[in-house]
Order: sequence, then C-alpha cells, then structure tokens
Amino acid sequence: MSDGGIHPAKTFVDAAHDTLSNTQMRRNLRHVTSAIRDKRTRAVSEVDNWEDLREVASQTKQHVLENLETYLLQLEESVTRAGGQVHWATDAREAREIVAKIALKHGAKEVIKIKSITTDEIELNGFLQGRGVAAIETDLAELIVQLSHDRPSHILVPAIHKNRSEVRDLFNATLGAKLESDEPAQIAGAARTYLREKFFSVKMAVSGANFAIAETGTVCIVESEGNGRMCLTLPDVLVSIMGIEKVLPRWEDLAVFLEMLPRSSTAERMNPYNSMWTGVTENDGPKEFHLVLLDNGRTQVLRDEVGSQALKCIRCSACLNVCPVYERAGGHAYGSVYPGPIGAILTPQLLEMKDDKANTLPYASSLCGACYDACPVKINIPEVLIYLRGKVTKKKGTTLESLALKSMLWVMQEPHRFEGALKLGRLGQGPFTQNGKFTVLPGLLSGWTHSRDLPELPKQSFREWWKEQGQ
Amino acid sequence: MKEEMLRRIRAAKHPARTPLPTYPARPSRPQQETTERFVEHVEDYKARVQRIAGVSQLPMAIRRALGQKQKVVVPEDFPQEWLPENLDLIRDPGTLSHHQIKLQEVVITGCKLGISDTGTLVLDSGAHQGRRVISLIPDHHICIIFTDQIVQGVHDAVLQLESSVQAGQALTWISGPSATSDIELVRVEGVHGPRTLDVVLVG
Repeated sequence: MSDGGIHPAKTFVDAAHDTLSNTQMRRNLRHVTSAIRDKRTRAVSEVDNWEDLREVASQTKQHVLENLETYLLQLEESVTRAGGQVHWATDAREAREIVAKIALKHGAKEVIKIKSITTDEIELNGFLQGRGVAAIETDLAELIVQLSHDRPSHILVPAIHKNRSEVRDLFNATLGAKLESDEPAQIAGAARTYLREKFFSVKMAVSGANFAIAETGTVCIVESEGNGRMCLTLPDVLVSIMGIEKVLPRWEDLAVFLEMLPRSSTAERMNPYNSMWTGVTENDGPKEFHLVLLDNGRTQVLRDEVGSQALKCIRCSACLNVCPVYERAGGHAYGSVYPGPIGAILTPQLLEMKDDKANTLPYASSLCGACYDACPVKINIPEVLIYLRGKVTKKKGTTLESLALKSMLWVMQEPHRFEGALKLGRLGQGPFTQNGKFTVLPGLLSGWTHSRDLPELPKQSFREWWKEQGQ
Repeated sequence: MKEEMLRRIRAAKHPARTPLPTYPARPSRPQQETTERFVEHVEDYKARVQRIAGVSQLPMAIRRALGQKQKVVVPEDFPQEWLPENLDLIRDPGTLSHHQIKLQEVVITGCKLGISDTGTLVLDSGAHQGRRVISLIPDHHICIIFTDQIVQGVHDAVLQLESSVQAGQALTWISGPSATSDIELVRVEGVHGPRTLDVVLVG
C-alpha cells in the first residue's frame, strides 16, 4: 500500500538512520541514480537549445502561478463545455469524498488506477478500501509496492528498492503466478496476465494528470507501459485528480514540457505513450469524465514569494537522481510521497511549516546545487532550502544554539577576542582530547562528534606563527 | 469548495508580471534529413521500420510485417487496396465491442503525423486511424506513415495538432512499443500496450 501521504513519521535524521542500514536499497539506488544520470546527460545534450527551453518552461510555470485564478476558471469552463464535470477540493478529505461518492454512485467495487503521486498524497487507496472499494494499481512498480504493503522510494521507479527475486516471490505469493525464472520480462508477463482481466472488467478508473490546458480543456498523461491507455480508454467512468498548479494556459504551451519531461525523467527522447483527451468523446473512451482540482496546502505555498517556486515542479525526478543525499538515504527517509530535494522543499510547505518532523527536511541537503542545475523548470531548490531553514530557526526563537552562535559572533568580531579565545581553548581542551583528537564532545557539541572525530587545537595558531615570522 | 479555493488564491496576491514566453526558433533541417532521423529514432525504440516507394507496395510491406498472423482489425475507412489479400479482417465502424477487438491479433492504422526529433507517431482519430481502443488492445500494431507527414520537432507537431484538439479529438502519441524499466531498471518491451510496433514509411 502506498498510503502514508505527506506526513513523515520521524525526523529526517532518525528515518535516514534506518534506511542507511539497508545495504540492498543503497546498492539499488546507487545503480539506478547513476544509470539515469548518465543517460539523462546524453538525452539533454541532443537538444541544442536546452537552456532556452528551461527558461521558457520556467517562465510559463511562473506565469501560471501569477494568474492561477484566471486559468482554473477557464479550465473549468472548457472541460464542462467538452462534456466533463469539474470538482474543487480544498483538502485531501474533500478530494477523497468526491472520488468515493462517484464510485458509490456507480456501484463500483473496484477501481483501476494509473500511477499518481497526487492520489498517494491524499491517501486515496486506504480511504476507498474503508468504503468497500478496492483500488488496484496498474503500473508495474506501483502494483509491486501495493502488493507488498510497502511505500514508493522513487517518484519515477517506485519499487526500485526491490530486486527481481523479491518481486518474483511476491507475485507467486499474491497473484498466484507460478514463476520460476526471475527474468524481468517473465515478471512483467505475470503482471500483464493479472491486470488484463481487470482492464476488461473494471468499470471505473482513477488517475492523476501531468498537464491540463485551460484554453481547450485537454488533459494529458504521459506513461510507458500502456496501463494508462487501458485505464483512460476501456472503463465507462474516469476520475482524474490534479494539483491546481498543473494547469497550462494554451495548447501550444504543452510543447516545451513534452520536450523536456521525458528527457529529464526517464532520459528518453519521448516516453512510449502520451494520452490527451478533451472531456468526453462519443464512442471513444469513458462516457463520464470527472476532473478534481486539488488545493491541499498549495494555496498556502502560493502565498510565499520565495517558497512558491516549488509549485513549478513537473515531477520529473531529475533532482532525486543527482542528489548525493537522496542517493544514500533513499526515498523512504523523507517520510513523504515527495522524496528528494523537491520533497525537502514541498512537503514542509504543504504542511504549512507546522509539522516538526517535516520541518527537518530542509536540512537534508549539502546545498551542492546539483538539483538546481538539473531542474527543467529552474526551481532554485538550494535557495528555497536555505530560506525554509531560516523560517524553521525563526520559529524556534532563542535556543542554546542561537545564543552560542551569537557569542561566537561577538568573539570573532575583534582579533584580540579571537586570539584570547584560542588560548583559553587550548587550556580547556585537555580533559576532552585523546591522541590529539576530540572523540566525545560534551552537551550541545556532542552532535559533532557523534559520527566523527575532531582534531584538537594545535599548540600554535597560524596567527601566532605569522607574528613570529615577522619578528 | 470552489469559492474558498478562489478566495485563498486571491489572498496570495501574486502580481502578474511574467508574460507568457515565445518558443525559441530552431533552424530547420532539410526534409531528407528529417526523414532519416525519424527512421533512426523509431528504430532506437526497437520498432521495425520498412521504407517503400509508393502505396502500390503497401500490401507487400504489410504482408511482411504480419508474418503468419491473419486476424486483423482496421478502422472502417482504411483503404482496401493498401491491404494484402486473404486476411481474416474486421473493420471497426466505431461499434465493435472490446471483446471483438481482443480476438484480433493485429491492428493496422494510419496516423496524423510523425515527429523526427523524438521518433514519435501521433494518432488523432482522424483519417485511417479509428478509435483509440482499436490501436490499443491487439498485441501488434502496424502503422502507416507518409514522408510528408513527418515534422521536425515536438513544437511543430503541437502546432499542427491544434485543430484536432479544438475539434475535441483524443490524441495518442506512440514512441516505440509498450515498455517498462520498473524491475532493476531493465527495459522490458511490451507490458500492456502492443508488444510489437511496425512502421511502414511511404515515399
């Protein structure tokens, strides 16, 4: 089950402590992130004017955020005109109720789902189950995660922490498959057999949305396996849930994103399938189409001049694959359906900076800046990380740490105070050092020596040596 | 709760100062190069490409792509003279059931256009294409494209597709056969969509 939403159960440090001891996951993640990184570099280098396109994508998204009301109203009008129904949901609870109501109206006992982080964000599957409706994930990786009651560890390849033999055993145990080989092709074949029956019998599908065009009312989903096309074409009823920031003004604006998203995420020139539909088409696809516009904290993020750039995200996962912290800690450490650098700025903001555990996420970064370089819509993630750290610190008010830093500032402002402090330090360090190293620092400073040693202060400082040389 | 959401958006008070950007112009390539790159990119996805000089060679090319397979579905308006003889053929007037389509091994369609930069075929339910469902269910898709249908980039394609979208037609963009890399990042062709994609390029 991919439920869990955006509420971390632990602080990042505690959660990372657990995930770092999972050596298999670390090995898998290192493999996947380095493989996609190399491939992505090649896919991007094929496009001569990539930097120009980044600018276009970034400005388009910024324009949308500045004119969100206009475009949402226009989208509602065009979808309705094309025979669809539009619903507005201020939070996860409202969105879940809307979906459940539609399912119950049609007497649906099962719904088939296209991989969607937004539905994971609102914890839809567990809720529907409570209402007697089984939600069946049809993306291979999401199915693996669901059948093993696990959580996704990567936006793009959610089950990447599992290896092939685990998946084979899982399918044998849960789907009644009789797989001997753990060849990925055989495993995918077992999923095909199981899901094909569902595609032809289940009457309602639930999806997210990659893009929605205000001007035409067209919704777009990009995918690889064809499970998306099945869900979008075969059932009678389709419900798509989209975050309000996914709207685009004109049909033409879609071009830059279709050019950049596949190269940034799967590192392909284009992913196998893109589906675009406008309301309801007679004799072709669902007879009933619902579009749910989800807020769930987004309008709160929108209020913040600096932090709101997180809403430009198109969920490509390029920032995860280049992040040294993500590569080692893994997606589960972030405790949210939004992992990696983008998760570190999105999750705490969606929770209005009120969740103490989520507020540790902006610290899950070395601020190396690789995520900013990789981001196709130019979200300045390091800038937002530092900004959010400032907010978290400010909320904490005066702490021992802030007092200590203030006195450091006072000491360092004057050379004679600094030199005096060094002398005092040399006298005072005796009881704490061993073989020229601090191994355990007391009190507030113990965090520093928790996982590493600190060399002791030298007998003579550089400043003292310099003075001596001058004489 | 529409009113509440709109109220919150207004409260964010974002000044509208960023205009919509224009798409950067790209130097255009000669048509021959565009066509060659299209073929190269389609083949990169492990789709099979046959190039023929004219429609008179279509029946032969389709026969080659079919191999031993006989059970074929085509859209209602698909020209009979493009097809080889002796097929177990059904035409979809828009009313075939999912089950009827499932019984066919192969679907043959035309397309709206092809994109050279990405090796993509776009279907818009227009001429010779039929409904989305017929190109989805059979395990083998043979797609016919003419060289003058190939555009250079994604942006060119989007501009050309605008009228189809305005008319409410659904689009399917196809780049190679169905695929997944979900298990250990090993690419597997053919999960739910057609496992085999054949492209016949005419002209």
